[in-house]
Amino acid sequence: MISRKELLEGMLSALWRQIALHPGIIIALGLTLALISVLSAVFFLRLNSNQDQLVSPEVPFHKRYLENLKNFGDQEHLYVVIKTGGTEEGKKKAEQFAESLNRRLLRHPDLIQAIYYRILPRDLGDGALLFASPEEAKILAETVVFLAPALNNWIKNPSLAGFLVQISVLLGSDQRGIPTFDASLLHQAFEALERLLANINNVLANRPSGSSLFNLAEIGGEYFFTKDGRLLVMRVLPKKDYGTMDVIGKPMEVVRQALKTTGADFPGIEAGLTGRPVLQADEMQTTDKDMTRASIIAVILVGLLFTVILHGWLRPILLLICLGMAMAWTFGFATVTVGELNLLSIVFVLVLVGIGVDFGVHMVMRYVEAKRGHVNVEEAVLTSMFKTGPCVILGATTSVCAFYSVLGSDFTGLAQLGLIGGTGVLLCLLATLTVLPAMLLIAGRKNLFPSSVPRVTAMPFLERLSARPGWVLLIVVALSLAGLPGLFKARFNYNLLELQAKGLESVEYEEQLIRSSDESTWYAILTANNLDDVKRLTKSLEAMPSVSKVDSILDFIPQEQAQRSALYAEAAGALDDIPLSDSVTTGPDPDSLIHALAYLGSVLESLEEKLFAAGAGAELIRIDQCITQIQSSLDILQHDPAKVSRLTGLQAQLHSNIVNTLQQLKRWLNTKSVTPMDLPASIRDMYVGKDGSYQIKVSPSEDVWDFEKLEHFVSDLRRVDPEVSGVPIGVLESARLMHRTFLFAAALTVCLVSLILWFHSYSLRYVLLTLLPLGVSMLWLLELMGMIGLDFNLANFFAIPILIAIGVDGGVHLLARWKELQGSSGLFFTSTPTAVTLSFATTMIGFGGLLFAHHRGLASLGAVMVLGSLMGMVASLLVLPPALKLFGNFISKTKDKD
Amino acid sequence: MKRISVSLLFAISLFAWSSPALTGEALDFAVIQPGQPGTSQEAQPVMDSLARYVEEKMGKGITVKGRYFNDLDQALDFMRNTPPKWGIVRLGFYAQFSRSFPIMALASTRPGGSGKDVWRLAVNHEAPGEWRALRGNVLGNMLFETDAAACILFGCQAAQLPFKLKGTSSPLRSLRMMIRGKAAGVVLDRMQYEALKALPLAKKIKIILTSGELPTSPMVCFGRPDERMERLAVILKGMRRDPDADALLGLLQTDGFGPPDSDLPGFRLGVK
Repeated sequence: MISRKELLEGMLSALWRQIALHPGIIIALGLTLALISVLSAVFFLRLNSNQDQLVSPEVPFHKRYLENLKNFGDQEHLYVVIKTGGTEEGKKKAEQFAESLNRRLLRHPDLIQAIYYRILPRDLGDGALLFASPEEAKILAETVVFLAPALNNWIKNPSLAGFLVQISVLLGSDQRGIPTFDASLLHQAFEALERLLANINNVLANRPSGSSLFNLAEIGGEYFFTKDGRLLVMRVLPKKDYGTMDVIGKPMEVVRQALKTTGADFPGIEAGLTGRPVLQADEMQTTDKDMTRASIIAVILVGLLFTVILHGWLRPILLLICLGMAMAWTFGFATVTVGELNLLSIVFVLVLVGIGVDFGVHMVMRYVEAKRGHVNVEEAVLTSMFKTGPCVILGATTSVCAFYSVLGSDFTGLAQLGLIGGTGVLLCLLATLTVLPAMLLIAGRKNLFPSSVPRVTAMPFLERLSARPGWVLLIVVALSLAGLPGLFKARFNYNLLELQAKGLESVEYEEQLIRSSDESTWYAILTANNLDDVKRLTKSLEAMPSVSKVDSILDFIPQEQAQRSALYAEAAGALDDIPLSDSVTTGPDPDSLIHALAYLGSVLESLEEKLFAAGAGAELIRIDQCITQIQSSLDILQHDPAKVSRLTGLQAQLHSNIVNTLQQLKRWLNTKSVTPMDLPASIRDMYVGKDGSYQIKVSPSEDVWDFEKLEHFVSDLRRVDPEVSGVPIGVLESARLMHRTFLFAAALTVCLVSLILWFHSYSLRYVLLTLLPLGVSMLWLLELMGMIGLDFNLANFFAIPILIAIGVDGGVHLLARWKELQGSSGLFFTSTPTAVTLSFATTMIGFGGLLFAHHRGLASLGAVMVLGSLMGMVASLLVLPPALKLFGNFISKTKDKD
Repeated sequence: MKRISVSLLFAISLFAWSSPALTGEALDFAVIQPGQPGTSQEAQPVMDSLARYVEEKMGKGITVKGRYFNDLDQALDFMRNTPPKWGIVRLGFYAQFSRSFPIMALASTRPGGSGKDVWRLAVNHEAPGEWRALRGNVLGNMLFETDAAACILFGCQAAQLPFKLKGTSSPLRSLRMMIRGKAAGVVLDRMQYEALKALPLAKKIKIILTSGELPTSPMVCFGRPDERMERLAVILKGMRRDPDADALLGLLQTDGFGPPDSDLPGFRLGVK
């Protein structure tokens, strides 16, 4: 029977024969395959940045989320937050800012689907007046009845002068019987008067005038201010492009540009963009920048390190060519098998740089060591292949375990990363065992390497240290015990907002929104089959302290409709006799208009005195402007009465606006009831699904970026409806799933690696010794993290499987070399400890660049990787050699078995 | 917006007729604010609201009727013929007529939320900066009680001034007249001065004299205060904490009533 060792040597021999005979063909084959892979990836490999597809659609919470998405459509908004300063003036300016921004955004229907920032009566459909409170409805009906005769008179002779006189009578002091006016209605009416007077003056002065004078459907709108009035929130629904990394990159750019331009028109108004998709897109951009910078730093530093250690530039170049080829093959593999890269699997490149390059390092270091023994090129490559190859294969196998352990995960994104990353490691191994030796052979044969052979760095200090193994291990144990308190401080932080870069506009505005309002960019979704269920659920939800706001179709279905409808029926009757079809046939009369303007001016002056006495400065300015307009118009008319003919069009427009308003008013007053189906589609579609079910949106009262508060919020909602869905539930369950997956993957990796090591050695002691550096380094890492307050989070937890993979790798190589030395001293005079150090060093450098990342999640990943690699290196070099000296004598006894 | 609605309500609440003449036997009152804009008829609904509120709070079948006067002569006629039990009077009225009528302050008002008033003499920005150099007419709606006003602002008798003090119901129009050179100056109270700051007109004037802090219009009792008057003062002072009184206080343009101003007796003409 052929032993495992014989099988491996047979395979390596066969490989070597081909490499020795046809090194050029092997390189050419590798290059051709790389080229085909790259081309196929360019043309066929798709980028899928849809985060909804990172989790299996069969997972219950995600299944519900996707069903809701399908039923109610994508309602993930960008949030434009406009600061008001909490003053009435600030709110007014914020409203103007929002209007201006809205106009700018409407120019991009290809990128912006919808904008919500206010609700107008017309948005409520024909039942708008049914939303009034009983008191408001009474006043409104009385006002209509009171105004009807005047309107009737005016509309039969609809002159501009007559209208101004009617207004003067209303504002003046010689009428009685007017019902109590709603202050907000009066405010709106005054705005209309301002517009009318400005238009009269502009037309008379031959200046351009505004369009509509008065439109009932657009007055009395409510802007979406937060409860404390400090922020005005605009929700913008972007069109998404899942073929790009940031999905909403273009719409976001358009909104930011519009914000910038609008901001220039409104100096002093602060506004910014936030919301989950914005945070994600900003995160993507930040991480992209950080990764690029880290990669450049890593390439330069690793290149320098390789150049120094491997003496010259050629060997590092060969290593990088080998790595590049393996990466290209991996791209090809991903194209053929998965066909796409997602937001997680795209990081496989980084992983291969961290792990894949190590195989080549060991091979090249051994080649250098062999060359120092003055052997020829073939013999050096052969030695490198046969002595290092088995360990590289074993190391690669253990690394693959770390990746393949997530293959069955419900976290589809992670499973794909496992498949592509694990296979990528195997392809790195293949390149290291075929292309790299072939390149070393050709370069060696052609004497392309520098004539001086690099000196293998010995580590005599460590050799001396390992001469006292008992003491060293005792100190290691003592240090580990001393660090134990830190171990218990290590914790997992789920807060996703704390992963984001500091100072990012979207993060700051998200925090503002959380701090100062009842608004949240996250909301949970409950579904109900009928309106009674909506009412029942809304009542239960509103009673919960963890809930700040419940939005549902009920907000748009008026209560006690019959009562209001009866009140309005009488008012509608008062409007019945008003003729609404006649048009104005005569032009305005100059004398009547002069008289009317003068009368209105005197009424306004009287009102002005009252406001002056009351100290109402802001209102005074408005009246003052009206009086100025009147005075200017009077000057023009008194100087040239013929100019009154210019107002003919304006008079007709006023008539038309009033007729339209009365028609609208009659429609509203005659509406008997409102059901969900009567609502405009823009509102109905937000709350009524394609299957007729109703959506209830629930906003949290607390900061749900804080995981504990999120858990509390979701747990409360589940008491009302276990089927609750939405972003908070998705975030909570995804985080838990990811946490579980990583823990399971880490445990499975350790088990699989142990099993492989067992089959490799059939020795428990071998397994334990190989895993010793890994175990110790993990313990030290956790202790250190607890001590310096570095938490695990959803970004850096990914480091654990990689650290397991490279931690085992060091142990495998050192143990193999120890075995090769047959237990005699001198391990630190060989190239292996240097290769192990170099492997860890490249990982530290590779991820070290992330330490300076703006994205705090990436920075913490860099920190964990650097610390973990450093601990792995120290444990491999300090702990394993003394342990081998104490417990490794079994190797000489078992060597014959191999 | 609340203030404009209040003022506009003043303007358009012109429908109810004045109530029958007050007898003075019940807890009737008069609000005397000479020179304030508007008419007594316009203000009557507010007087009625205050009367209803006091009636409800006093209980025990007490009836209350109120009258509003912004004309000094009419107010004096009313005081002489049918004196009410209590009222809210302007500082100048209190100062000038506290010897003619037995007036005792029981509470203070807080117009615009302030317990103190300040008068300022505004002149055209090109006019002399010294008030003694002014000639012609100086206008103001608090200048109907000429002697008191002269004493309060200038510290002398009206006859000793080099210009004439004239009461006006249109201080804003007076300011515009002053800009056009048709008046020497205008005296503004705190509320008027605050409102003026918002207008472009403010750039064309300057303040050349500012009074010290003055008491606001006091709530007074005409005659010796009895137990009912004491109770009434308590009720009025409690309005700030009464949600039912919010709208009424808004109409009265005060945020409530406070304790009587201790400086007030010193303003009685002939005392200071």
